[in-house]
Amino acid sequence: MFHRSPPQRFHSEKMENSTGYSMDYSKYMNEVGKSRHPAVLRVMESMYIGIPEGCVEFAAGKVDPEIFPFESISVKLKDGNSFCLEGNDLMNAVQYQNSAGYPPLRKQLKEMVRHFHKPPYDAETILISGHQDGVCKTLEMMLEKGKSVFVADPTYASGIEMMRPYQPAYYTIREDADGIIPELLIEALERSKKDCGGDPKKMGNLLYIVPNGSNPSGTVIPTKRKKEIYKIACDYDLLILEDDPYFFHNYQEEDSISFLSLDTERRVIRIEGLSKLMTPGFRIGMATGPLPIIEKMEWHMQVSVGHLSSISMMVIHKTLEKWGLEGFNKQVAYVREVYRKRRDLALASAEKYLKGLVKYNIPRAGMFIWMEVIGVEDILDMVLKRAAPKGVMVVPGLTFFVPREGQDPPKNCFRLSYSYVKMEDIDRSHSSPPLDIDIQEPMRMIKVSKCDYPRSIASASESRHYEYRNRYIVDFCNDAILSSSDHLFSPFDDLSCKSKGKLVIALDNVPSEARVDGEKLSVHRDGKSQRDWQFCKQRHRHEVTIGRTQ
Amino acid sequence: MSGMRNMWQLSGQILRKQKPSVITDYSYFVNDLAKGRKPSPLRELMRMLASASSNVIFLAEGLPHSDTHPFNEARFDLKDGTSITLSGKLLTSALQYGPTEGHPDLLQKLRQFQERFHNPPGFDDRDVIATVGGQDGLCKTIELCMDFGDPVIVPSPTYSGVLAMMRPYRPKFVTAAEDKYGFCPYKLREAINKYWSHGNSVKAPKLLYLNPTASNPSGTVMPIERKKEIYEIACENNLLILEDDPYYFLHFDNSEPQSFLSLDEEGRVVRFDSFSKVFSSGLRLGFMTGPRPLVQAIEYHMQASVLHTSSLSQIIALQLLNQLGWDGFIKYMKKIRQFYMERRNHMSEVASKHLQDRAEWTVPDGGMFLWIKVKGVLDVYEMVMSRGVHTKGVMFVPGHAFMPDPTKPCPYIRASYSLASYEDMDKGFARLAELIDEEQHHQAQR
Repeated sequence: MFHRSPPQRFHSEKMENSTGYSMDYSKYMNEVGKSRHPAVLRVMESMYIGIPEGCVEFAAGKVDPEIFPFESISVKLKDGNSFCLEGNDLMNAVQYQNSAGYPPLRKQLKEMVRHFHKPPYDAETILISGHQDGVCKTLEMMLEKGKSVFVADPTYASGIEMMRPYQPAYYTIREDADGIIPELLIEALERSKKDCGGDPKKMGNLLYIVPNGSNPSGTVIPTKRKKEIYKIACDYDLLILEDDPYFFHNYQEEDSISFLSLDTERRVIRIEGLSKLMTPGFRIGMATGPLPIIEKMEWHMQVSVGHLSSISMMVIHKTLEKWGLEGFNKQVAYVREVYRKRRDLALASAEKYLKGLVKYNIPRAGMFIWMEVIGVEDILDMVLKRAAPKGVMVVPGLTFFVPREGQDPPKNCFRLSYSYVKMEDIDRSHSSPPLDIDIQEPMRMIKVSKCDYPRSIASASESRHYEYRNRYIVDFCNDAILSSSDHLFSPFDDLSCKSKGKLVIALDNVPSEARVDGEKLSVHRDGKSQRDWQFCKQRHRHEVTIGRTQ
Repeated sequence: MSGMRNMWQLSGQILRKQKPSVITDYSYFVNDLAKGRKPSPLRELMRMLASASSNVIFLAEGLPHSDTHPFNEARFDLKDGTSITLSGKLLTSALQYGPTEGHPDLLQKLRQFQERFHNPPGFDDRDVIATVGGQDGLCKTIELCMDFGDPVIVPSPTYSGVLAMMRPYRPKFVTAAEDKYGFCPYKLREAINKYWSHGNSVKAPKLLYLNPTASNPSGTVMPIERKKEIYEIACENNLLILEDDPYYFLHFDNSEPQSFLSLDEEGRVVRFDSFSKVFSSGLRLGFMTGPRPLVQAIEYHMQASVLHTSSLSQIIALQLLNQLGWDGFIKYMKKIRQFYMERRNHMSEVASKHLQDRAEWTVPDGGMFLWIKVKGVLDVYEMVMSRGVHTKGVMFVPGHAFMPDPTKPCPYIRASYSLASYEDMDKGFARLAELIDEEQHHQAQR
């Protein structure tokens, strides 16, 4: 079949842009990216254009929705609106969908992108499985070993994890209070050119940036600087991967703009999502950019996730339909206020308790404060080992720096999030800075306490509700990796007897590095610690056995 | 951290009778890209959040606050009169970020599921995680193991989706034709030998893909004896078996087939299940079962990409499974099976009535497709794609889509009986008969 060339639509790696020159996007891609073509069945589906009336169809592998158990789906919104999915709507919610997204929702979100960003050309928009997947698929399309990639310093930790397997050559650009510094970007580009010895194959073309509410630093690049950076991208033939989940979480007086709105040369791949605006659990995001790149992303989605959850797409579609643009703006304003209040509270208590101890910039957007501890060189131990027993958890800053040779990244920073924590706890957490605790126990410790009555535990994430059927609660301290147990199979009173008592503990998840067979443990119970226990075995991910060493 | 070992090795000494050839080091099967992948620190933190004691204040994770979620309640009314209501904490789980591997309660259920239906040997060394449809697990496994230009073993015909997953790596397809029970072991051995006889320094194939129950498109169901033979071949050639089984419950037999997973003494099978044909194809919920090092590597990839499959889908599936219970689930699947069997019977009758000698086919033992070989026509592409659709008004899929080499002439077409009405089936096959007649006439004239 492919000895006939596929329709022109699938060979659009060359494209005319508004200034009249054509751009060949395949030069930016790696081998796998270049070789990716649409799945044959999808090509065929697109060839079934102009299907005559009354054509009998046996082609699609679609399932008859009659066999699915759903009759209707009713949703109530917090603002009093509600809707019901039945009939055709229900069918769409339970059926396979187009990889680019349920067409009416795709249309809605494409219009939204147009409304807020007014791209200077007819950019293509598809729906992706959360904004992170869009970033990941773009990187997987383009990165190559040893090829340069340009990132901010610090940058989004998960972005680093996406890049890491490809072992690119990282060129980092420091930020000031207004985001990445254009002069340093030019310097990095020149350095990269020199390092590649002018070989265009080695010279990378990707600038990965979180321009509004940078994660972790919270900077917003002002419009003037964005224009400067865009010009540099044009001069040096860069593509800009604009990762922008916090576009609406902007606490400044003036609105920020996106790189997409400046994109006259079709260099920007804009990734955004509804996660921080509506619901992260649905995994709905949008990718907007030049057709040849967005298409490749779509083809990759065709063979991987298929498409986004149809139910999620229908629910969001109906919600946006009910709201219209006005309702959406209302939601945005509400969300912005919620986070602004939290940011202000976090800043106030940081000022109250942490003055003189840390340095930080006031975040202009996003959900985080990036802090630098004064006078301490390396805070990793403090954060990982001493902070949790003191009752506070932050993210050590090292995770936000790309690996580099030569000079080490700063080790005294950490990221603090104010999005989720209870308002009253923000104050409490800041008031007990973990700077002066010294833990004596060299061993991993588990803490056992008696629970006198069955009770439900709502964990900090408020997402689980466990009834305690047994009498004991087990907490793993120091590592904070294992949860309180809800199944204890053998009597815990073995602790007091000298025989080789064993205890089987069922847990929610034991990461494989969490314990090592034969590793010594101290079991802490009722204020006393017994040090003659060890890990015996892990039955599977959810269950470990510990026993006495003698 | 003390005791960090190479993550590709299984940890823990499980005391049970083992054959000496159980795989303990999977690093041979994975590519360099996957070896370079590390766990996402932010996602690992998510775990800590979920499991920490309630007096730890988390300022680490960027979780959107549930106040900003605009939904109050979601109610799913079911056809049997019951309903599932999501509100309060349950709704929050459905709306919030979750662990990459899946909601813990759902995972527990899925593990029980696998134990009940497959009882795999050495289940302790295997992980089960939720994926975005069975397909994402499969795609990520291929991206985990394949290198550019690698050989890979697939049946012919095979699922077009998996061919599309592999094609960006420009693989060398080592294929063997199926017979009415699926992959033919001696033909498979022949194909592998032929591959090796081509040169000394060729790469060794590492992956064997199959769709053993109601294979798409041929509808074959592989009997257990044949599975054992194929498993032997996998052991001899040091292959991983990718058991893609979304139609596991859509066979037309009385009892569930025995899977490759249930035979897997050596830890070679990575199995992909799906709820798409069970609860809803829109859910995008599947699950994969495999040796811990491989599943963990895929989890790391998911942490960097999709994060997790839709929380809403997970919660709905969990509620449905809880409500049905195992017996209810089996009854439910029996109904679905009955539904497809009736449709298959009807299409077979209609095909016999209209096509007669013009084509041959084997009545499928499961699934939703009829795989028809047109007689007297070398290549059906134009017949199906242009004359079929535009002149006769009937739409099938030409078999080229399911062949590793789509450029070769192919006389097969695939017909789906899952959606068309009985009336349409009659009409459609009458038109197909005419189409074939005309095509045979054309061929004779040339």
